Amino acid sequence: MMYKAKKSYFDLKDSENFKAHWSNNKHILLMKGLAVDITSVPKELKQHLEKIDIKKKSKEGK
Amino acid sequence: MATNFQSRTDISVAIGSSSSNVGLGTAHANSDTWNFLQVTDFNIQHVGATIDVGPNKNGIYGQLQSQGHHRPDTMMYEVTLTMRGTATAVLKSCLSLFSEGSSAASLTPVSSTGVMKHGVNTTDAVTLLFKNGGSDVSNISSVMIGCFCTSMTLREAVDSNGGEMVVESTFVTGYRPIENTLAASSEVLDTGGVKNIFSLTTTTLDSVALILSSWEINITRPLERVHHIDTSNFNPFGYVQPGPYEVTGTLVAKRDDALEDIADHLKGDSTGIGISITSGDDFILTLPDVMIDNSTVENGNFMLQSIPFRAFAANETASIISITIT
Repeated sequence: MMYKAKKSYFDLKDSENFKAHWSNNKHILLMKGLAVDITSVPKELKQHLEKIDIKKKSKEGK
Repeated sequence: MATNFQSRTDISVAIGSSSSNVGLGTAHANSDTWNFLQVTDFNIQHVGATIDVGPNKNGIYGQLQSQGHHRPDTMMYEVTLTMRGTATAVLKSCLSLFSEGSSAASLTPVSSTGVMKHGVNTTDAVTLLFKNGGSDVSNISSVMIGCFCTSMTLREAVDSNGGEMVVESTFVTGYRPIENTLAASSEVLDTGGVKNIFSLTTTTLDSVALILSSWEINITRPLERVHHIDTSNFNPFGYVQPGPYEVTGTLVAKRDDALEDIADHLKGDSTGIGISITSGDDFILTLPDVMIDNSTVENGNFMLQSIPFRAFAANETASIISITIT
C-alpha cells in the first residue's frame, strides 16, 4: 500500500521515524511529501502515516 | 606447531545491524541484531597489504628491500555472500546497498547510504561475522566492520537450484578484518521461505506476459575508500560513491507470439517500459522504466529469447526498482 506522511511524522525524532526501522530511504521520500510503498507499517508509525489510494508507480497494468 | 584447522562447513555467516545509529568503523555490539543467513557460498578476508615497488637503480639487476613499500592505506576488503533467496537476505543487502531495509525496498535516484564518514553515525553500515572463521584457536570469529554493499544480484532459473531464488551480495570495507571472540548474544536464524521461479504468478514486459526460463537482476554501485586517518591501523576517513547505482538484468523467455507484441521495444525506441515479476503478494519486483539492451536468440532444443535490459527512473524521485518481499 502507498502511504504519505501526516504532519506529525515530520516532528518525529530519528529514533522514532523510519530511520529507526532500517529505512532511511523511505524517510527521505516521506519528508519530501512523496508517497511510499510500505508492505507492513510498523505499529509505532501507523498514527503518523496516511494511506493513500493510488496505484504503485508502474506502467504495468495500464 | 599449530594443530588446529578450519572446516569450511563449520563457518556460519551473520550480518550485524542496528536500528540505532552506530559510528562508522565501530563493530556492532553482541546485543545488536545478528541475522544468520542461509549462506551457501562465501569468501573470507584476512588483513593484508599489497606491495608497491620503487624504481630500480641503474647498474644492478635485482630489486632491493628498500624498494618495497606495503600499502595498507589502499586496501578494500571484499566478500561475496551467496544466499538462498529469503526476504532477510534481500532486505539486509538492500539496507547497506541503498539504505532500504524494509519492504517495499525501492531504489530511486535520491537513494543513497548517506554520509559515509569514519565515526559518523549510520544505520546502513553492517558488520559481517564469520562464526568459526577465525584462524586462531581462541579468536574463533572473523569480523569485518564498516561494510557497505556494492552489488546485489537476484536470480531464478527453472534449471538450477530447484528454481530457488539466489541472492548474491558483495560487501566491501576499508577497515582491516579482525579475528576476535565477538559472538551474538542472540542469533536470529533466517528461517524465511525461499522464493522460487515455479511460484511466479505474473511475469510481464510492457504488460505482455512472458514465459520465463530464467531471470536475473543486478544492482551495483562503485565505492571507494578515502585515504587513511593514521598509520597505526590505516582506518579510512570514509567512503565516497563516485558513480550512480546501475540496475541491469536479463529475462530469458520462451520465443513465441509475445515477442511480436514487444517488437518495437526490441528494435529500439528509447522508451521506458515496465517489467513486473510477481509471486502473489509476498514477492513483487517492479521496474517501471526499462529499455531493452540488444536482445538475442538463444539457440537450444527449443528456442529462447534473451532480453537484457537496463532500468531507469521516470524522474528524480520515481522508482528504478521496487522489491516487495515478505
